[in-house]
Formats: sequence, C-alpha cells, structure tokens
Amino acid sequence: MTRFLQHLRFRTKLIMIFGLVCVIPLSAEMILSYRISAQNTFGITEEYTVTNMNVVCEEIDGIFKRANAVCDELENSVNIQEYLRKDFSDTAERYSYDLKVSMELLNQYSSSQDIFGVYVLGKNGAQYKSNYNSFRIVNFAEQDWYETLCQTGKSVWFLPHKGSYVVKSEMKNFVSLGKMLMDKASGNMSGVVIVEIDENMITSLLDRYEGSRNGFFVVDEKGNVIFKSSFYDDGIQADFQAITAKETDHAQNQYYRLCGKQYLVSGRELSNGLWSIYSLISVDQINATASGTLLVNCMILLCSVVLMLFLIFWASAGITRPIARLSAGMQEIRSGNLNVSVKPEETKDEIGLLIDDFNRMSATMNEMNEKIYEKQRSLQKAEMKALQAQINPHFLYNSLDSVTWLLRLNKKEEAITMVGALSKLFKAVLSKGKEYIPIADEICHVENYLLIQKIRYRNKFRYEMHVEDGVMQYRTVKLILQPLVENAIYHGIRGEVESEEIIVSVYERGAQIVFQVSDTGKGMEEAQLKMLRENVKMLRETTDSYGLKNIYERIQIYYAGRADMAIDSEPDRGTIISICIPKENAGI
Amino acid sequence: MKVWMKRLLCAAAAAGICALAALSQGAAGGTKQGGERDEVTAAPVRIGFSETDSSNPWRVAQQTSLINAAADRGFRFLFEEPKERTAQWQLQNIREMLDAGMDYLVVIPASETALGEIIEMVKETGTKLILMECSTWDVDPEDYLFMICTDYYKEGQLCAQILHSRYQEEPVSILEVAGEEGSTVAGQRAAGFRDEILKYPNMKISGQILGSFDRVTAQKSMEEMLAGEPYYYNAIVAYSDEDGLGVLQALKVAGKADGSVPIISINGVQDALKAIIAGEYYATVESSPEVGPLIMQLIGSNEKGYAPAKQVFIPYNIFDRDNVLEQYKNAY
Repeated sequence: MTRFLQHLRFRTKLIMIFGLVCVIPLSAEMILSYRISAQNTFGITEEYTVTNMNVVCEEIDGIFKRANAVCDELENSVNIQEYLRKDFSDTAERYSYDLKVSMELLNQYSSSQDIFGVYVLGKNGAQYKSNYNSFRIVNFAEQDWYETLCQTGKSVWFLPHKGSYVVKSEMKNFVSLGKMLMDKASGNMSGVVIVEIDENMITSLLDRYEGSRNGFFVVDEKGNVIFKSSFYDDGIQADFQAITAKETDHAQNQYYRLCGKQYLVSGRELSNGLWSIYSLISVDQINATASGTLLVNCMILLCSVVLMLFLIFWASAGITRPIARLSAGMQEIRSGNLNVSVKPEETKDEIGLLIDDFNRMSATMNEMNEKIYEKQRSLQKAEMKALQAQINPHFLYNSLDSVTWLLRLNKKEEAITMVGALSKLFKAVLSKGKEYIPIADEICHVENYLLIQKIRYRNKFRYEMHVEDGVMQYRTVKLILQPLVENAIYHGIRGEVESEEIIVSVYERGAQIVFQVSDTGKGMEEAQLKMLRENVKMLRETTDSYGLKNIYERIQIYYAGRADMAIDSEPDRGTIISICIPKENAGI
Repeated sequence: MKVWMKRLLCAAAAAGICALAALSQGAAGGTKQGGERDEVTAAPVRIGFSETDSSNPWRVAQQTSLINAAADRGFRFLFEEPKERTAQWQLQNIREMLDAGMDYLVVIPASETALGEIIEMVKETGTKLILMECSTWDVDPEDYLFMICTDYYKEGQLCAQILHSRYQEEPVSILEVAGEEGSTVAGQRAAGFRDEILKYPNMKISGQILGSFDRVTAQKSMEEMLAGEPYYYNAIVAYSDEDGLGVLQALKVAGKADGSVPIISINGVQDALKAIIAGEYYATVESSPEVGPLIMQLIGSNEKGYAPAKQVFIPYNIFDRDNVLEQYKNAY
C-alpha cells in the first residue's frame, strides 16, 4: 500500500487527499441527516395523520351536530308540537298544513348544504319535508327504521342506505339520524323526525388528504366500515374491518398490516358516540417521503462532489502543471542541456516565483558554464603556447650548439653544467603535468635557464637572484618567471660582455608575492611602453610581446583578477616587469 | 464450470418462459369463460341511458320509470348518475357505453351541438338511437329510431282551456308566473297559453312575476308583488308546479289562500296534487315522467320487427278536483 502510494503522481495524490477530505464528511453528514430526517418524518407523519384525523373528524362531527341540532329544534318546536297534536280527520286540512309546514322547513333548512332533507312524520298523518322531492307512497309506520325509532325512543343513527327513507330520490346513499317525537302535553309518541345526509358530504371529507395518501375509514360500533376514502380498495377495507371487529380500543399511532403493507393507524370516536374514524397512512408512503429527502440529499452530495472534483482538478492542475514543467526543466538540465527556460506562470505565487528563480538559475548556470568553458579553452591554449615556448626547437638547438661549442673548447665542466641545467629545465617545464608548482621550483627553473642562457650568450649579461626565504613555502602558477627573464635577455643585451644586469627578485608584499625582473637594457620610449601595456592587457593576438601576454592571460585565469602585471621602462635605463600573485601555500 | 452454469441458466430460463406461457393461457381462458357466463345471464336487449341532470324529483321519477320498465321486460339497462352537467361528460359517458356494446341508446342530449356529435358516434356502431326532449331541434329522422316528444305548447294551451272551463264567459284577469328565463320548455308553454287565450276575449294577462321553476323564488316574487303594488287578478297561471306552489305559499303567508283564486300550473308533482286536495289549487297539467313503459314497449315491438313511429308523444293528464284523489298515488 505504502509502495503503491509512493508511486502515485503528485497530482493523483493531491486529488485523492482532497477527494477524501471532501467526500467522507459529506457522506457522513448525508447519512446522518437521512437518519434524522427519517426519524423526524415518522414523528411528523404520526402527528400529521392525527391532526388530519382531528380536522376531518371535527367536520364530520359538525355535520352530525347540525343534524342533532335540527332534531332537537323540531322536537322542541311549539308549532311542530301543535301540528302533531292536531286531529287531521280532514285530508284537505292535513295537506294544506303539509304544504305550509314543508315550505317553512324548506325555507329554514334548504340553505344547509350537508343536509339533504329534514322530515317530520306525524302519527296523525302529517308529513313535512324540507326539500322538493315527493313523499314515497308507503306506510311509514310499517318501515323498519320507523319501528326502530319507536322502540328506541331516542336518537338513532342509521347506516348508509340506498335512496331516501322518506322521499323519492336519486339512488344515492344517505346517512340518517332519526328521533321519536313525544307529545310534551301527554307524553305519548306523536311522530318521528328524520334528518338525511348525503353520503358524499362525508366521503368527500375522507378524500381531503388524498394528495398525501392519508386516508380514512369510518366504522360503526361493531367495527364494520361505513365510509372509506375512495382510494382504498375492498381488500384493505376487509383487512381493516377484521382488525376493528376485534379491537374496540382506538389505535394511537399503531402499525397494522393491511393487504401486505404496513400502515400507521390512529383512531378516535365520532361525536355521535357510536362510530369511529381511523386515519391511515402506509409506511411505504412515509418512507417515500423520507426517500424524497434522501434523494434531495444525494443530489446535493452529487453536485457538491462534482463541483469539488472540478475544483480539485482545477486547483491541482494549477499546482502540478507548473511543477511538472519545472520537473521537465530539471530533467533537461540533468541530461546536460543547460539552455532551458520554463514557461513562466502568470500568477506570482510561490510556484510562479519558483519558476522565475529556476529560469534565472538555469540562465546563470548556462552563462557560467560558457564562461568556464571559454576559460578552460583559453587556459589550455595559453598553457600549450607556454609549453611550446619552452620546448622551442631554436632554444634546444642553440643550447645543444652551445654545448657542442663548449665541448670543442674543451670546457668540459661548463658543458656538464649546461647539460645538467638543460635537463633540470625540462624537468621543471614538465613538472609532472601540474599547474601549480612551489615557488622554489620556479626559481630553480629560472636559475637553470639563466645559467644556460648565460653560457649561450657567453656572459654578455650578469644576473642576480634576490629571493626572500619566506616565499619558498608558497606556490605559483608554473612558468611565469622564465618568459620575463627571456624577455629581459632578448631586449636588454646590447653586445658587450656583462654590459647588462638582470635582477630577479621574489619577495612578499602584504598578502601577495611579487616576482620582479629588471634589466638594464635600452628600455622603451613612452609610446612604445604604452603600446606594450595595451598589447598585453588587450589580449590581442599579436606576435609582439607574446610571452608577456601569455603570462598575463594565465595569471588572470588562474587567480581570477587577484593577480596583476606591471611594466615600467625608461629609455636607456632599462625595463622592470613585476607580477603579483596572491599567497597560496605550496602544500595546498 | 462456466459451461455447466450456462446450461443451468438456459434450462431455468426455458422453464420460466414455459410457466409464463402457461399462466397467460390460463388467464386468457379465465376471461373467456367469464365472458361466456356473462352472455348467458345477460338480457338479450342492452339499453343505455344518458342524461346530464338528475337533480330534481321529475328527473328522478323519469329515471326510476325507465329502470323499472326495463327490469319488467327483462332488458339490461345501463345508466350512470351524471357527474357533471356538461356535454363533455355526456359524450364520454356515451362513448363508454357504446364501447361496452349497446343495442339501444336512450339519450336526453345536453345541447344541440352535443346531439350532433352523439349522432356521429352512434352511426359508427349498430346501436339504435332513441331521443328525448329534443323535438324543437332540427334532426334528420334517419339518424334515430324514434323520438319521445312532449308537447309543451299543448300544455300551455290546456292551461287556457282549463281557465275557460272554470270562468266560461266571465272576465278573467290572469297573473302569469313566468318560468326560467331562456328555458325552451317555459317558452313553449307560455306561447301555447298566450296563443290560446286570444281565442277568449274575456281573458287577459293583467300582471307577470318571475318564478324560475323554483318554489322559494316564486314565493319571494309573489310576496314582493303583494306587498308592493298588487295587480288585479282573479286567476294565476304558472308554467311549472314549483312556481305555482311558491305563489301558493306566499298567499298562505299573506293569509289570502282561501282557494277563491284558481291556480293552474303544469307538471303534476305530488305537492301540487296535495294542494288540489287541500282545496288551495285548481288544477295541474301532468307532464309525465313515466316514459319507461312506453319506451320499453316500443323497443319490444322493434325487436319483434315492428318499426315504431318516428315521433311518439307522451299522453298528458289533467289533475283537478274531480280526479285528484284517485290520481294522488300515481303522482311522481
């Protein structure tokens, strides 16, 4: 696993980390909120169904109460009492009253929407009604409901029946409230009052919450379903009836299985004291509501994740793209191409700065590299030239010629000295290929050279060596003194024996070592001296004063400006050339 | 391993398809059997009935008459209580009935336009159309089997004749209780009445109040007239019983219902008969809702091959003090 992670690209890791940081808490929040909302949904639904039930129940009770009020009103009506006490042996009079009182009832109750009809049927034959419908031509006293009323003596609710009990009506279902009327004068039964309610008035109330699938059942005292919401089928009704037939207590937020589905059921009694209303909602419906919340949550999560992924990709690309470019630049440098420039970022954040720095660094490196290369090249060239100068065939030929000449003159000792000096000279020139040599070696080399030249030039000059002891412990770039001496010999000798003196001095001056070669030769004019100085320092490729130029070039390269050369000359007085180099211990 | 699993899956799938096929066959067989059983018990004649208003007693009586008459003859009668009083509902209702398959279709069209569409719909099937209450509209007799007509004009004429028989040559000042405004029925009845009284120079309409085929409205109109500037009248003619009964109640409330002013109206509802019996009303011309026996009888004849007349008029009846007691039970 760790190894797997190690091999992932930086951007992938960044995305994974960001992704995890975003998705984990969001998912946790979603699960939590779903659980809470599901719990809440059940709690709210329980309250909701009970509230709905109470609303519907109160409306149904309202209808029932109005029906009851009508019964009470007619029972206690002075006029009705009087009409029912009348002896209607004369049919004409009875019918006249029927029409008159019916019109009164019509005027009184036709405005009541819930009540289909109010009827008073007197034992004396009186028939009063509150609607336009005609009376059924039957003997009411023989009807079951009439007998029930007479036997019970008090208010009776009749279950829904097809068609009106009293008048000719449409084949609709009606719920009726009936009551026996008592003659308040005699205490005898004087008739009945019936109030009929269109069943639709009640069933339409039960469909009120159809939108949220909250349905209702109204059951009678035996637990039989009287009314139901229109969206409940007979299967549910049968299952529900089976429960209410057994359980007389009203369920309070209990769960029942109806037609294979769980239902949340609450119930209460209606105001007529006989029937009960039950509010039902399927658990599936509640879950669907909760799932709705879940769905919304999921959508929000999905949108957030998509948005976050987009942001993460965008942000990580913003970080990793320049880094990748930097990395590619590094690769280029590693593979040796220093001439690399990474496209700079528009932003000036850390990464932008990093790229700017990288570009600067690579440019500096490239520049330095070129300088070093150039330096190396000129150094090699200078050294080659110096060496060539040393192993000059003319010099070797002249030296060997001198040796031959000495031997011929039988100056054996001198010849031996010369050959020895020549040998030491070449050894010093080679100096095992080292660039730096101890000052002692350089001085030894110059001494040998002077020795050879003195013999060659047959003592046409004298020389002195003033070397401070202290300088011996330091080192110097090889072959810087010899060309100065050579120069002094070539330009200073005027022909006479020991007419000239060459003084080689090496001494300390502060932190520097000074090599100084002075001659007593013809010297230079001011203009000539100026030209020489310029020639030397311009590093111009000229054949004149080549030796000096070569030295100047080399000390500049090796000591990087910490060394210098000075030329002084006066006509007929001679020339002094000094070289200053920094002190560097020979042991280094 | 894989081959073995594939074979097992194939076998399972095949078994499943066989089982499904068997089930669907069983189900199809079931419906077929059910259908056959239906046909065996179904009445040979299927009659559909469509109307858009069943809210008043007259309509209820008309419906009941049809239902009972069809049952008496063993016909299968299909009827749905109107849910809306719109042509749209009626067209849908008829479409459903035609789809179910009807031999006869009895229709009280919601409007003349609806009738045109109904005729088109019925033409596409073999169903025979019987029309009611559209005698005033222009319909091609080829489009229907027969039409039940009520002669509203005649009903109005009868009212005038009843008044004539009551007053003979005496001067008669008539209070007219107009029916529902724009109603064809009320219009035709009024036309019949007004045309008829022109024959009797002793009769004139002295005043008019609005009834609207509603007892309460008529009562209010009459009360206003009595309390305001009453017209002189010695007879009252209303174009529906409801209007007449409302006027009667107003007279009772005003203490003037002594039966001295004859009230004549049309329809013949139970309450009007009661009022006649009570001596407060003079007469009512019955516009009978009892069309069931007549229609079923004509259908029965048609089934036997005797084509009925295109227009069949419902016989009218006059209820007055002479026959009211014996007719009371027959009033709707």
